[in-house]
Amino acid sequence: MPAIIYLLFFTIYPTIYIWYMSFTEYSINFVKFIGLENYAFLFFRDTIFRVCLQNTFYYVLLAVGLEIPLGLGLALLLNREFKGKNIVLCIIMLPMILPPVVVALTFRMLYDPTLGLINYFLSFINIRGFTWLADPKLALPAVVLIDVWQWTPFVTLIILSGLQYLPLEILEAATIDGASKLQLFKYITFPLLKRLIFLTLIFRIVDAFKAFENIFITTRGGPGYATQTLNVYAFLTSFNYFHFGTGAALALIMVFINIILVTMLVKIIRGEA
Amino acid sequence: MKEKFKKRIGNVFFYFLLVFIISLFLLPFYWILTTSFKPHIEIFSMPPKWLFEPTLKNYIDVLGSADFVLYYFNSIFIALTSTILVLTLSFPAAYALARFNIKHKDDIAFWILSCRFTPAVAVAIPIFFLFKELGLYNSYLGVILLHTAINLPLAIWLLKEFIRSIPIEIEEASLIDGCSHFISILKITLPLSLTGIMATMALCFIFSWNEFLFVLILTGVETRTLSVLMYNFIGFSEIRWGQMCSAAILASLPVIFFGLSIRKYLIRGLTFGVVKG
Repeated sequence: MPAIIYLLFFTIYPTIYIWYMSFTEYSINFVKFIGLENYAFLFFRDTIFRVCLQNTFYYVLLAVGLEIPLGLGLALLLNREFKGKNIVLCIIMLPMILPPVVVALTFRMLYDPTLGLINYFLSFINIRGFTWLADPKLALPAVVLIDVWQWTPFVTLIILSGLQYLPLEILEAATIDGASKLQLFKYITFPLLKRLIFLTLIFRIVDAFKAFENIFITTRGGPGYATQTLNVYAFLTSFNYFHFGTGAALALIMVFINIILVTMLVKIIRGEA
Repeated sequence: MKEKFKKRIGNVFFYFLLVFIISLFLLPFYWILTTSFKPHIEIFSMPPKWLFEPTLKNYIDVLGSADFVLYYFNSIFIALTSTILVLTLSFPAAYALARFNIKHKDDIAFWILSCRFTPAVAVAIPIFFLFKELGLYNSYLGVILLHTAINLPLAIWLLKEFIRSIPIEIEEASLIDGCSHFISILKITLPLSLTGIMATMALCFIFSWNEFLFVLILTGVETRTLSVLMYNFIGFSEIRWGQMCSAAILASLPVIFFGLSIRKYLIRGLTFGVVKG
């Protein structure tokens, strides 16, 4: 199968090469073997690395923490027949298919302190505008919000598809027996959806972990290091400062965290379902 | 009577909530759409003008720039070629995975799925040097080969599922009737999985079109795509919002078209077929 050979090449070659690079001081025109020095630097001496770890953790937690409940709520809201349902579903699909660069640029415009819509709307309720992406405290929540706008529909659509397969008889029987809507959700809908929600959770965590465009294009990791996540840091270290060895070590650390996340969550699913 | 009234209130509340949520999703898009038709001065007017005399000037400026036309062509060329390449490579693999007993089938499955979870940077760093070495840096071939590699796992996975959903008896019947294996695939499996093939193609096209990180590092002035062109809009000290918005709209049209036409398969594509959607 040529496809498998093709893929093998594109997975094995980068894997071996990036391991090798992570043990070297690697720049455009020279290479020097330095052993574990890159890792030692990152873990013991690099303060930016620590900031990035914190930011990444914050980003993933806040983004996924908002997307799952909001997406679930929206799915429950839309889980009925009404006029124009198809159009609504098309609209909430837009954020996911638009080029990420377009999404990031749009939000850059919306966040703009002087001509942005967000500050304009805030002025209605007498809140003086913020500088958003230029504010070290607000920049990270602001880029998380882009993620939430983009990926909440993802959660919604998956859960909506799961809701279609709920056994109606059980729900009806429970209603006849006098169960309230809240009870129905708690004891029937949620347990049946649990596996699907965990699955969505994996995808969202892994994807939020490697979010790139909405950070890189709006703030490039700034102001200062306020929105620098591991992914952005790895990119900038490599392609901006040309410390490819350190960048490679960073990327490998990301891969490891990713593997841990995925196996952990897969275990949760298998254990629970 | 009271029940009915309650239900009506509930309905009003539902639609109110719905309109609010929809506008949250639509407003950003609506905003770039209107800004793209605004004359330069009106873009900066605060409070924003909701009514204005639309102008095509931004579009004319953007379409008149040689860069934009070239990069639009690049985007189309790269996305189309890599999509076709993905399909020719993935169909036989998907067929084999769906129909034959292959050793280590589960390992292959796990490996293909794990491609979905790898951070792009981890691939970008070594590939950058490999492509420099091979002379693929700043070439169409380089980006096309890479986008093919990115989309291949997805395509194999989705097609495998689509092929599996075709009853094997139909193929067997044709074999008994004297078709060769090749003809049977060509005349029966291929047409029957056409919907799946189209959906897969559209997804690959969208992913290639939208891809930013690899294009940013692997292409030079001549081979860039729209993603990078739009990123460069913010490189200038003064951002030309009007032109940026019309470029954004023009860059979004193909993916909106493809995305909406394969609505049913979008979630399947985004989750690598794990969630059927």
